[in-house]
Amino acid sequence: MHRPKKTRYQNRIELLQGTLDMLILRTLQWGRRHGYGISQTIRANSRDVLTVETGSLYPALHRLEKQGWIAPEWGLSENKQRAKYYRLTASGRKHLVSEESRWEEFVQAVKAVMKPAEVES
Amino acid sequence: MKLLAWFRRRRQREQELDEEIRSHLAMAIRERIEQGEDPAEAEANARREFGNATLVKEVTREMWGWSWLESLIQDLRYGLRQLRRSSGFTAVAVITLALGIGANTAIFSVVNGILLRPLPYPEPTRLVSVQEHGEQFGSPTSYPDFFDWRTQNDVFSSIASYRVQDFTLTGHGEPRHLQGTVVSSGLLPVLQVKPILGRGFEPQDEKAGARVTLLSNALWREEFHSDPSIAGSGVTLNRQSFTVIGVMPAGFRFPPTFQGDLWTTCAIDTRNPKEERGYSWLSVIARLKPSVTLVQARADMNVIARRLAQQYPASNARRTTIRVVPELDRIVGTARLPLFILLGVVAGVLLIACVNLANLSLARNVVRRKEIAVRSALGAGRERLIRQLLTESILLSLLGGLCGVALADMSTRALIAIVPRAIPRAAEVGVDRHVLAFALVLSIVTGLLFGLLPALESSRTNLVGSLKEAGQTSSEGSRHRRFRGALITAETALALVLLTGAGLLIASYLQLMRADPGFNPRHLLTLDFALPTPPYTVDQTVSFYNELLSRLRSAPGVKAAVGAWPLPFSGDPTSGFDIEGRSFPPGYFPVARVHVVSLGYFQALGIGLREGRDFTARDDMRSPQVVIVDKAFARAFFPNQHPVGKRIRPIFSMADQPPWREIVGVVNNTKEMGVAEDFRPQYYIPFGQFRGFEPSIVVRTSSASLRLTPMVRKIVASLDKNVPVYDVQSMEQLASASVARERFNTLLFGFFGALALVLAAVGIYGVVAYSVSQTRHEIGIRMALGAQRRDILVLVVRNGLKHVIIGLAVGLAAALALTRLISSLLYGVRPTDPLTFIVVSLVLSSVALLACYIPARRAAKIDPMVALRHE
Repeated sequence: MHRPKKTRYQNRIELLQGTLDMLILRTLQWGRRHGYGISQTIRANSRDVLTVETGSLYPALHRLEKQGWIAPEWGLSENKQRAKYYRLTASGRKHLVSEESRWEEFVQAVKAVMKPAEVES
Repeated sequence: MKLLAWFRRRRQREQELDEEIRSHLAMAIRERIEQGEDPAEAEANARREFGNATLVKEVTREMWGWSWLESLIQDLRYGLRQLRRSSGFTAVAVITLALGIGANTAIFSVVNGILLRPLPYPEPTRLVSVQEHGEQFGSPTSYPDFFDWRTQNDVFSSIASYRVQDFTLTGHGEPRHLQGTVVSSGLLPVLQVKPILGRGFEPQDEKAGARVTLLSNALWREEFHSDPSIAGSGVTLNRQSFTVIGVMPAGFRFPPTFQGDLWTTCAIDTRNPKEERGYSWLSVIARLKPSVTLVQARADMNVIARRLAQQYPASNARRTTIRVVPELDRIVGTARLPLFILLGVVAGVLLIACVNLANLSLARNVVRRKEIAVRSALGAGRERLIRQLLTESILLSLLGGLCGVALADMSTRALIAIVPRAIPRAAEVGVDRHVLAFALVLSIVTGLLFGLLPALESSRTNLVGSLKEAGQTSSEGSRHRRFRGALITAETALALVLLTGAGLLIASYLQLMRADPGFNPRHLLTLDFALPTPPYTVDQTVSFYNELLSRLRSAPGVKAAVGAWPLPFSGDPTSGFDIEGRSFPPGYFPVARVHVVSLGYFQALGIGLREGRDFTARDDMRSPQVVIVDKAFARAFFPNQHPVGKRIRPIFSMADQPPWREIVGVVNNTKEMGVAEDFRPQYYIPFGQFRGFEPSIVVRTSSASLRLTPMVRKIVASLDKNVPVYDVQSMEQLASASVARERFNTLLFGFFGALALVLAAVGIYGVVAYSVSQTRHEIGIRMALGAQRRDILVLVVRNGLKHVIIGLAVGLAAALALTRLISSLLYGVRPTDPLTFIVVSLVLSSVALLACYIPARRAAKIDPMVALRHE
């Protein structure tokens, strides 16, 4: 018996969920963006290391919207097409701050485990 | 309105999501074109990068919540369409499920009505039956003991004695025979039921001379036209006038298993039995005080019993324990075990049905492999596919369950008609909301049970492979094949266990039918009537019987007429006794079945006298008291001795001080209490020395006995037209009624065993036929390579039988372990009866062989050219 494989997309969601949420919120800190813009920004800012699958991105956006951390607005895109933009809400901003500090702690903790000497110095 | 708004909002969101994704794609394409890609190429690349849009939408929608409901509705609609499309499959599945679920629902409704439904009184679990654990039949109680319990106990909020008695209502046209209950005044407080009209019993209603009665609702309606002013008026019962004090609510019944017509107080019981502790004839029901447990009640009552035993050693020396048991336990008693076993049996039938359906679903899902592949290519996740398939199987089982409930409703009605009177509370069986809830849960569980494995198997699709095959199914995977093999094994094993149970009961029933009761039951007519006392005094009763018997004897077609109590096959009165010159350890005393018979009884029934003499007319109250015993009695209590001339003292007596009785004769053994029993020790007391007793009448006729019924009635009426005759039955009817419960069990087990056999055969046939259809190609190749038709036949049969044989082995082991459970239902057959096991195994394996052979012969007829070209 081999274990059933999870669907590709769902696998990514689980893998990235917390981090992806944080990345999206962070991206929106500089102003409203649409889904495509968010994915492009994350990709560019990570120097093409992180690519966000649409199958992860849109569920994440709709989840964050439901939680009230981001709010949608309809606007016109560069090519004059109606597009759905997202902007950060006040509670989203608060959430981002706490996520960032948790992330910082996490990175430090991982570093401490992986390279003990560097952290002590 | 809210729902409508919700739907509108939902649709809008749907459109927005579409637009969001469209704009995403448009932007991606534009950017690619700006980077210099060719427009067509840009679009293709953007789409590839985006991925499966349907799936993206689906997983995004899931974030909105409530999507499960929507997908459920989708699944249901899709499932219904699928079921309608393959109507053959649906029909077979629904019929199988209806049988399985119907059988379970029917038996559950019986269990529910008899075992689970509470007694129809408030707080029924606090009602207890209080019984003297004693030497007398049914362990009833005497009035003096009951009165002492009533005044001395601290554990019951109220306590009441009762006994059933026949009454004759006169003064309203035809004399009508009524079933009454003689109770103490505490009955209604015990039951916590109030009359709808008038009042209940008061303590003064127990005083000598009081004649009051409560009427049942039905009697009030039928005889008194629901007269609202009935309370306070008079009625004539047993030729005495009674005052009606009230009417009970409709549906009220007491004793709980008894449809009584009226209730009166123990004031009608004369001085004699009321003051004699030896005269035990009362049942007692009580209500526990709120804080008192059963254990406390038992302890308290035992203290009272021991005190009474010291105070009245002559009558109570042996009554040192009192049983306090929940009233429902007393009623249900021995009906519990067979019902639970039946529940297990129908569960087995349902499991076989599930196994069949699992196979059917698997086969159907394989045919639908392409459809499933298309769905998953279009973005259905594996969970979603499983959910879809499970929705279909649950839909099926709900349909089956619906038909099953209808089936159960019809069959419980038929069941009630054949349920023997020996099974208590049968009238309460029916489909109620508990039964419906059971059927619903059972249907869902069934759907999951037979749907889950096939759904898991089928959703494990190899997308590319299935699509490429374009629906052509070459030989299926070995895992599927193993799974099918396991299905055959499982259903063979289950069927074997069920058939063995049925076989054992049938064998047992055949033994019962062959059993010799020890007398000739042919051409015997029995009848019962009630002499109203008073005005019938003891002397008048005796002369009424003597006159009646002599008139009957001289009637045409009558060979003999005797009085007997109890009638054969209709009661189990036992009584303890002392043996002169012998002492027994405390707590032990000899017990045997007791009879009171008139002169000529042994001759009339054809029971041979082995030793000593028969009763004679000289054995009356003035002569020495005598008794006749049977061979089993002699062997049990006088081994290697001649019992004639010895003396015993039966406790069973109309007098406070039971007399010593000399054994004057020994007769052959008979089986009295149903023919299921082995011979048990019995003794016979002459009617002439047991004054005031009213036995039933047995008439030996020269031809079919029931034809004499009108004449017998006329003779009774000629003596006293106010004596209603009831329960005229032939001895064969009594004998048949005494094994009614066994017949009922055998019938049900046999029916479900047959159902299991048919379902298993259909299942095995289905699996083998399916694997033949899956391996046509392989068979074609084999034949092309030179295999003979016989080889193919043997191959297919062998493949099927392999699993059948494993199933038989497993089933035999399980049956050996499980048939012990029904050993108490068996008569003259051991639960491991080798003959039954062999016959059942042979029947099952030949049916299985046939089920394999039919598809195998079809396989052997395959034209290799056609089979190969077909691919």
